[in-house]
Amino acid sequence: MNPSAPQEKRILLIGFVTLILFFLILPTLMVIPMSISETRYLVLPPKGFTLKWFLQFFTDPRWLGPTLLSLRVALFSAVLSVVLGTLASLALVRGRLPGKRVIYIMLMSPMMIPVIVIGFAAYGMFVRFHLIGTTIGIVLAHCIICIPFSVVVISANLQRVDISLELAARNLGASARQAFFRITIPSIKPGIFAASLFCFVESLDELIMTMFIIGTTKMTLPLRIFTEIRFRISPVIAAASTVFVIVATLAIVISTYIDKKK
Amino acid sequence: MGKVQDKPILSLTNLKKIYGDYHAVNDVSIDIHGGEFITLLGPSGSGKTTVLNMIAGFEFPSDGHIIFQGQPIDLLLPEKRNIGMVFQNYALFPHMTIFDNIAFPLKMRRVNKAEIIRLVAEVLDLVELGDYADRKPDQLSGGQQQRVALARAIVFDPPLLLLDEPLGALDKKLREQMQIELKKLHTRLKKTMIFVTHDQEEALVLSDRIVVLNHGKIEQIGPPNELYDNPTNEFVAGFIGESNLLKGQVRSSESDLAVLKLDDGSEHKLELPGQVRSGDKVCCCLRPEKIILVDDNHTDFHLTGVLEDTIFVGETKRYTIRIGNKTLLNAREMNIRNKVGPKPGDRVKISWEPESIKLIQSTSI
Ligand SMILES: Nc1ncnc2c1ncn2[C@@H]1O[C@H](COP(=O)(O)OP(=O)(O)O)[C@@H](O)[C@H]1O
Ligand SMILES: [Mg+2]
Repeated sequence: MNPSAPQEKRILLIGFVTLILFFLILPTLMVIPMSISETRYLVLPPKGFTLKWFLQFFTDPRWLGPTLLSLRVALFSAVLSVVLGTLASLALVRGRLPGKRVIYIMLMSPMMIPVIVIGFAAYGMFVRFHLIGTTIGIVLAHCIICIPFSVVVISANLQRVDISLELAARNLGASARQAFFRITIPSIKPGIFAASLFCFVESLDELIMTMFIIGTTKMTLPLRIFTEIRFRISPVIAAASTVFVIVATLAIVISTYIDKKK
Repeated sequence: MGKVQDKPILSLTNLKKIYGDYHAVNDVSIDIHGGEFITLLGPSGSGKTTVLNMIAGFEFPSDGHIIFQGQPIDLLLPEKRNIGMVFQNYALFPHMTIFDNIAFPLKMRRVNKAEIIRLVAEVLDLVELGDYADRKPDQLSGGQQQRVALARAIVFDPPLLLLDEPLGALDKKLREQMQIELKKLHTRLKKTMIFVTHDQEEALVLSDRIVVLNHGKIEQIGPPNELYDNPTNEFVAGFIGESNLLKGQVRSSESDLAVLKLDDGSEHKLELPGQVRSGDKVCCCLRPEKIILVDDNHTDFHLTGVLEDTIFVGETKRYTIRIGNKTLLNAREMNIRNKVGPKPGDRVKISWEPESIKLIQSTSI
């Protein structure tokens, strides 16, 4: 900050920044008071105090089932996206192949193309392979969205890792595979960790792709929230959202803490 | 050298590396003998690292052969070569302790645990870092990291050690200290070492032989004193030490004396080494410290000129002398007698021992 800036300008700026932060966070925080209201519908400010909506969220199979499916899908999507993203990054950063830029842009394209278009296109493909309504189908659909993030984060990390580390390992007697697992992977651990977290959260709240692929028998957590909000405006929605927010916040806090320690 | 064997430990024959249509290494042939300290010396981009990379197996030659201990290794994977290497930036594994870094090549060779502990301790002692085994590389100073890199490269006892500008990142004082340690280590381990540097002074201090590289080609190979005293061409004369070049055409030559017409148009009568004939274009190299300023009443001199400038640098005086129209010669004189030297503008006579002037190949003839 410019030290010669007058005091009142400084205060104005701080006020403005605080306002923006509130604007970004406040709607999210609203779900917390709504989730403890005793009323059978969503109100603000809350009336009374109860945890029964949380209890219902954690016991009612209509909520529990989708939550578990979402967690399972998010786990598989994160693992698959990160493994494939790592391999792709390796080829893009270390490989000697022609047309690297073209391949990179193709890998990134799901980030640029509207999800609704990808969802529609994927639907056409997945029908042929009988993947509609299967867990694998949902996982693969989520990977289409997650892999670009994974590649961006991991290849950026790999770019900063000095290639002479890998050459040194080879020179000291490590095979290409040993050098990869003992030197390259530990060097890109921060990128792999960040990408895993990102893909996990991305998959956890993915809705549009899911709607195309999920068929009629399955339900994910975001889809449950979405349908509930259209038919019943129950405070369980707020309870589910609150759990969501808490989990996401914890993930961010843990990851920044681990980052700091490095 | 002393312990040189007959059969070379490493032979490079007509080695080439071509990137696209750029010849990074062009027709390099060197025979290196066991126990030798060889330096690849050349400016940045002259292909030194590329030569090392081909020996280490990180790059495959476009043409030519590498014979190591009697076996062709052109296409052998790097991990199968058993050649030690110290990288310019050390390339220590940041996520491992010093112990694990040095133990790495032993683990790859499935050496048993007790033996690993013994060997690592031994080599850590050798580089005087016994107390640092449990640190991570970023907790060490540059000089210490350098020694860890050295320890890691010798712990598995490779017969050949490659060092790519290993002292380049150190400050001057530490660099000089490490040069001495490296020299000691070489004497002690009797390992063949190929050292890369762009610093000619470093090359002169350390090497048994120096290979001067320029644009991927070898300009000259020889022991330091030979390269200094008998450079064969203009590049080597200019790259190693300081030198004065007299370029021109021989006008007439009878018995010992020749008339040399310098490129600036002036003509001088002087003794030239070797056989020169009238009409030859020649380039003569004369080191600054070999030039002697003689008193005016002397009759035994080679050239006369005008003193342009004197610089006093403590133990030496440096003179710039103009001969002919615009050819400048640098001369250096030890500051032994406190005599009053010539002043700028004075006419001076200069002389040299007959064997001090050398005919070399000029790049521009
Ligand atoms: N992988 C590569 N692709 C293209 N050109 C290269 C490659 N590696 C090195 N070069 C070129 O080869 C030349 C020699 O490089 P290098 O061996 O690193 O020189 P030095 O180590 O003497 O500074 C340089 O001009 C460099 O740009
Ligand atoms: Mg280099």
